Amino acid sequence: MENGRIAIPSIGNGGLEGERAGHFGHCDVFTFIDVENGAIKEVSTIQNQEHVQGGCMVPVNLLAGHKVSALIVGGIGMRPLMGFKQVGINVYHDDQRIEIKPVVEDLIAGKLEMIEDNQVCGGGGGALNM
Amino acid sequence: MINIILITGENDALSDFESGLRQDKEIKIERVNSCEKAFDLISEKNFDLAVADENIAGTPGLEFVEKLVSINPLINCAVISSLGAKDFHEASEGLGVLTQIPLRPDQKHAKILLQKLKAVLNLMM
Repeated sequence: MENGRIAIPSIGNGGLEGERAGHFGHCDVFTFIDVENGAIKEVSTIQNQEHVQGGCMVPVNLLAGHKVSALIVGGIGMRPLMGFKQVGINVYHDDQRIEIKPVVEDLIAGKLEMIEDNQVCGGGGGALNM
Repeated sequence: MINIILITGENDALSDFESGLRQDKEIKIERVNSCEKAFDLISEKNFDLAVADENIAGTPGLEFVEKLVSINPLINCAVISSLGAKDFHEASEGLGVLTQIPLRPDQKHAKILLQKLKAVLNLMM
């Protein structure tokens, strides 16, 4: 990834040295990593919005409004995945590591896979296998 | 205005529920009796909510929702279903269904559904 904004569902205060949330809809904050010319330029966070049943499109709307171009999840349901695709946000998958920094570095290096339609899981989020 | 599409066969069991929805002056409802008509209408107009009957001319409501989500994930969905809560949760996981509606819903269910819908729509503003 050369340029763009990566979003990571995070627990607590988030940040590059923080930890990922297993359920993106229920995360505390989203950590944003702005990438320029293949390098991390800036790190910021935004508060997640309230999660309600059936509110899968709320985070889609939130991240699209902040011009996110890529999202890294541990798992995701079909509806939010289709929503992110519709607004042009690429969804990448890593269900092994809880730390934010290594998955961001892998995405920038082109080592993370985009999630496939047949990899969707239930519950609107899924869990990291950690 | 909140636009709702109700997808059901000739189902008189929904008349009280539909009447309850129509009591809200913000609500506009269109009713169709097949999945094909629903997809045609959804391709032409914006809807905030699709309410799918348990069985729509031979197609299970959840099957309709799964297809709808893949085409237009922005539409909120509610499904009429006789499944128990746990079974419904498992059957609908990942589809982001707003709520399960019982087989013979009444005006009270309409009111609850609208409360849930408005809560989601408010978060999207």
